[in-house]
Parts: sequence; C-alpha cells; structure tokens
Amino acid sequence: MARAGVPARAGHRLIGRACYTMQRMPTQVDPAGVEPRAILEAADLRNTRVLEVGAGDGRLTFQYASESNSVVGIDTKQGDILSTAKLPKTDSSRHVHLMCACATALPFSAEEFNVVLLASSL
Amino acid sequence: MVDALREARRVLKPHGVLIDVRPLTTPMLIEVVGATRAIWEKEVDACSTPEDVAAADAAIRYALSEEWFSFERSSPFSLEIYCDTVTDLTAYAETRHLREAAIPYEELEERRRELAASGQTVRLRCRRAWMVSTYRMN
Repeated sequence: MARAGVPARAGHRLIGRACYTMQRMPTQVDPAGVEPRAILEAADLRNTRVLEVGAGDGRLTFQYASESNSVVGIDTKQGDILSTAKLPKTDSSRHVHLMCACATALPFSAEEFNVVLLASSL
Repeated sequence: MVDALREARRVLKPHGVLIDVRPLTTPMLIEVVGATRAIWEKEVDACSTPEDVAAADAAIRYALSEEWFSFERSSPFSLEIYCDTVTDLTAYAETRHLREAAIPYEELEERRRELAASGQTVRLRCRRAWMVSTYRMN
C-alpha cells in the first residue's frame, strides 16, 4: 500500500490514500475456444493421426489434440516451435509432436495421416 | 499452394480428411469493451493481400477440379482476441496473422484512455470472421 504523497508506480493506481495493484491480463486468443470447437464439429478426430500445417507454438493444437490419437504439428518458424518447450506438460501434450518442416516438402511417408489440418497456411 | 495440397494428398490415407481453416477477407471489428458490452468499435480492413487469398482459393479449386478431394462442408465462426493495452495488441499483431491489418492504434489508445480515466474497466477486443472447410480425399 502506498503512503500519502508517494506517487503510484506504473501499473498501480492511487485511490484516495491507498494504492491498489491493477490486475493485468495476458493477451487472450479465442478464450471461448470457438476455433477448436469449429474444427471438432467439422471432422471426427477420434482414433486419428493428425498433421497440422502452420501449428506455430501449438496454441490451437493443444486444444483439440486429446480428441485424436496423435498430432504432428509443423511450422517453418523454428522460434515458435522452440517456445513450446516452455509449456507445461499436460494430457494433451503427450499426443503432440511439433517440428520444423515445410508444407511443400513434407518429411513423411505416403498415407501416414487420417487428417491434414491447414491452419491458416494456404 | 497447389504444391502444399499435393503434399497433403500424398501423406493422407485413402478417404482422409483435409481441413482448411483461415480468416475471411471481411473487415475485422476492433472494439473497446467494458464489463458487459462494447463501448466503442471500428471496422478495419484486415486483409491487405487479396492476391494471397485469391491464390489459396484458386489452389483449392484446382485440387477439386483434379478430383484430389471432394468438398464436404464449410462453417463460419468468429475468432476473438482480447488485450489490455494497445501495446499488447501491437505486439500480438506483429507476430500473428494481424500483421497486415490497418489497426488505428492511436485512435484506439485514445479511446481506451478516455474510458479508463472515467473509471471503467476496459479491454480491447478484435473480432474477425473465419471459415473452416473440410474436403474428403477421393
């Protein structure tokens, strides 16, 4: 709590004599989970092996992964993929493998996947 | 883009499913939202590369004409992004699919500050229409 006459620091707000910390929220993308729901309504992912092209840091991937048997997410941006190493291990993450690869030269054998998801990558 | 679809077809099992998820070219709605409703809003052009969108559509048409896939269904949905500050929104836009959006940052920050100064708890919201389409491999 700030004393009277002490200026509030950035991120704080003086109300009367008290200084309360203002709660900052991180950027939230699709907090209602509309996108994974739309995907799950579009295709039945049960018992499937999924390839997601343009997976980035796996924001979308981890939201539907538990519905499938496994997901391989690829992206050309190595930085995004590396950032997933910082994510907490969850039930979904056990199904997911993210790697750096290009959509036009996929490092996979023929007929490996049941579903290919182009995540804003066409 | 056709090459990507050709590769998708190669790695798919027979009768596998291709899902194409991407934003539409319709304007994006930028809002300053209070506890229960939007207090201020503005439509912005979120797509400055209609050539890329046209090329993606053309690639899909080509794949259908070659009978690589059959169209099954399309469904629109609205994707929302919430930020506390214009700085947060700028950082997000620079690294994501909003990088080409003509977001009026200065005007947005001005309105956000005005409303916050009047004691309202406000956040920034971007709403954009997306489409998920599914195709079955022939």
